[in-house]
Amino acid sequence: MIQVESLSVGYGARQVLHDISFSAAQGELLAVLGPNGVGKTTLFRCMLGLKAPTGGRVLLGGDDVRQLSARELADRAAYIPQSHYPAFHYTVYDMVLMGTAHGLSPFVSPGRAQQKQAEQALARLDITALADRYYTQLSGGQQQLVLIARALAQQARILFMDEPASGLDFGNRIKLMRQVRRLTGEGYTVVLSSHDPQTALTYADRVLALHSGGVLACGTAREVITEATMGALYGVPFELLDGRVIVPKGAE
Amino acid sequence: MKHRKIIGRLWLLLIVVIVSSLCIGRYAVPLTELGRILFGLPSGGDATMTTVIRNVRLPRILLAGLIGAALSAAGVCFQSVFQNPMASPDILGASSGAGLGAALGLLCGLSARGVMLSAFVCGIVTIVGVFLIGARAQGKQVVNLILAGIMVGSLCNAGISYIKLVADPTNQLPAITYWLMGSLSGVKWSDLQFFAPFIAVGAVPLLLLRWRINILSLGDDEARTMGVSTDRLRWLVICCATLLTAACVAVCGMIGWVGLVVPNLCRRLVGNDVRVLLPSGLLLGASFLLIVDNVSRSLLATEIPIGILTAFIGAPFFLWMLMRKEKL
Repeated sequence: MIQVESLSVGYGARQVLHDISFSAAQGELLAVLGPNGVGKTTLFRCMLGLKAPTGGRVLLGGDDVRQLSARELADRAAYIPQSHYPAFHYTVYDMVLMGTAHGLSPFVSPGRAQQKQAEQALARLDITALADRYYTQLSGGQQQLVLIARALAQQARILFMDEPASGLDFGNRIKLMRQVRRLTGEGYTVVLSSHDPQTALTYADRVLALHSGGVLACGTAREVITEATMGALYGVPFELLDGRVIVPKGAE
Repeated sequence: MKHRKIIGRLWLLLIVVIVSSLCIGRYAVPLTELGRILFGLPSGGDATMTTVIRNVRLPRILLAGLIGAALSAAGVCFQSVFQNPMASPDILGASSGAGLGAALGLLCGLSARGVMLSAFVCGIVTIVGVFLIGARAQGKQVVNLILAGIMVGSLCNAGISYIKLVADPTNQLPAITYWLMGSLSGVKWSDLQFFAPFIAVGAVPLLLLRWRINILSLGDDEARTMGVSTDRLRWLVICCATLLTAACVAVCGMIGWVGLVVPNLCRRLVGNDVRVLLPSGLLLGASFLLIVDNVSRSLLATEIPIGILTAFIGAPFFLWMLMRKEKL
């Protein structure tokens, strides 16, 4: 579904990512781990066709993202940003409805079919009750669900989530990740960046660990989330308990 | 639906304002007479009344309404495109450019129509210049565009000051000063006929694109991943909004604040969805400028330039908005 082939990206003379290769199959949840500033967001921007790579390429469903138009791209992949504060507030329903734009000609406003798409997306995430609330008045977890609903209304099969769990409390984080797993179970391919190796270990099928602009490790969650790899990735010692829980060393 | 009701009320307001504007003035016209004159029935009043209504008030009222609507629409669109509720139609320097054009025209002794044309052309040329500079600059395009607009605008204002300095102080200087203050006095049917098409050409695409403008207001990255060609859409919206602004400033001079105050009022009334916001901005903008114009032509024996009045109303409103604690 997603193939990244020896991708390199930079801003001006500064190289951010160098020779990155990995792939994700349909229905997989791929977690991207790495310290702050390692280029996770830049990688996402490349995969979404928002930034041109300096080398290599990204294939979505077999086609190079640089060859696809904005509409074709939106047809395949949706972006779920971190919950944010837009300049103007819109209702949840209007936000989700905006996800249907790529199926319409520019001079047309959404009609019955698009409204139905939006309503279904809200229903699938059980947030129909929020439809008339303002997006900016919701909690971080609810905002994240709204942005996912918008991606569902977009009807793309690949979802890119930029640190979806950041800023969410413990319970909301688990609820959100369960929803994400439900989506991968339905055949959606999800790539999410995360700060939390535990989330990756618990929920991800595959993990990509980025370190100083390159791939430190890439494989199944069990293969990548090890004491050695995590120690090298974050520069602090870790302890893996039971093969299921990763904690900082000496935390007892 | 709630929004339909508000739009309906705004239509009603506009109709009431138009009818009362036709009656109000130094030459008061009773409502019954007005009906007879408008529908061409034999009227009891004198011929002057018919002339006042048909050749003076009607074109002026239609033009005032059109300009108020156009400036508000431009304001709504600029705000959404620049993701900033404080943006206004003159943000890219179109009005300063048009002002420079008018000042030049008055300095060269052009006719009234010549001055309008010169203002219109200079307004458009200014924006083209701003586009070219903004597109060549490095970094964030929207920020560059605004910075280029501010700089080119202040350049135009310096040009206006210089023209004032060299203009003949007995007739040219007062004419320039008066023009810059903005006024609708003396507009004719022919002015309306000439500029209405430009306003239509600017407004219709904006009305058709109004839902997409919402998506643009979320930011470029998000909009693009939703399948919107952000650059193309933004240029189109800015071009249309600029056409509206330049046409308005050319006809009636600098009328500030309408394009800032009315859109923000409408945001409170109907929310930020441009699908509803744009139509309500058009309607409320027309009513607002008509009311201000009525005050300008009937408050004192001599007409008060409308640009001064909109600032008297607009500036306090802006300050009130700034001091509000909650987010707009």
